[in-house]
Amino acid sequence: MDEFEKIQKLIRLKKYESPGEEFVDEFVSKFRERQREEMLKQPVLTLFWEQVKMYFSESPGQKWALATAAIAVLALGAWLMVPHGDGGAGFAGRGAQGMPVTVSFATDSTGKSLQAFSVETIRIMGVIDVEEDPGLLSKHFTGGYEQFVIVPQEKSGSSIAVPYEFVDFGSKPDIR
Amino acid sequence: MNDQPATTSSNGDSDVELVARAQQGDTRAFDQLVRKYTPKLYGLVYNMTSNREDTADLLQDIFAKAYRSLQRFMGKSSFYTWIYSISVNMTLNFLKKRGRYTKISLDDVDTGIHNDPVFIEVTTAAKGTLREVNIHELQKRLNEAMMKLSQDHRTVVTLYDVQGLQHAEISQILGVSEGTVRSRLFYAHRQLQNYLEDFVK
Repeated sequence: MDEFEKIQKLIRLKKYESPGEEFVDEFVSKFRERQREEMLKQPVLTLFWEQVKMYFSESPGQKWALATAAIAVLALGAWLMVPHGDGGAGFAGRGAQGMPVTVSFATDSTGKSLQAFSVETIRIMGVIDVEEDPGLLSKHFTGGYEQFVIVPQEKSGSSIAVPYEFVDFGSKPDIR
Repeated sequence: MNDQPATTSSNGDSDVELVARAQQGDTRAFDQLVRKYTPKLYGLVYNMTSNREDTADLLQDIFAKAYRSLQRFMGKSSFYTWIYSISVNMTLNFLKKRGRYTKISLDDVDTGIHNDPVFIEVTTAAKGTLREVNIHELQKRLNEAMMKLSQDHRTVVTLYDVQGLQHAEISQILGVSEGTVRSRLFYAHRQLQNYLEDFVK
């Protein structure tokens, strides 16, 4: 007889230890609940990506074709929405181009306030330090340019466009 | 003696089928695996921790980790071996963090023990002595003796003696050689014999 056979038989009695009959059902329920909670805590993108992976795991060929087509449509739409070209505004500026901005305009000497330009037609050609060289805003009208000087207002944080000069179409204003 | 669970669940699905379905996102398939392996893994973890509450909490963490890692399971080993490895590793990590603090909380004991010849022999042998052996005292002594072993020795005793795994399976689960398994078992049995000598005389 193995010298340890008795002790091994004794230890084997521990197999009768059991958490109870209801334990497994309760345990599985708690586990499901925990999984649901963990899933809800995941970032939306992670959940979305998991759904995408599951989607493509079945019949991948056809679904990849559909996905490729969908991406192509989205890309085309995005490209169409991005403004292209400078609309003939003409002259190069400094700093960032194409920055949308809402600008309020000063009044002229008679007190008449100037019409605000829409964001789509205005592009800041350059925002430059107001002390040295005010920023330049231009809008292309048929037959000519209107130039404005952007004067940033430190206190309000907005900028004011002050008419600089009206220039005939084709002539290049002197840009500093 | 080999108490490895059958590779099919109660409704006839094999572990391979359940794992494949679970990997595809079928949570009900994973639930079936949980239901199937909970009793065995509970026994494993409980015998290593001797605490019911810790066992239940740890088992939740084990299955949660198994679920998260399921996509990386390539089937090189059986699911059974794989989840046993996860269970042993997580339990050992838990015990290292718990440190020397051990609060033994006893599980229920199946009434079938009364018909076990070994139990009958132990309790019969104790009659007439000053101290009668009852189930709970025996259970407590066995648990205390197990907790005196080092974690590595307790692990091999749990896997071999309590769970009924073979040396080769234990070696695969623990990632050690069969020689190491046999060596640890020898040492552990000798220690237990000292701790429980009044029951084995």
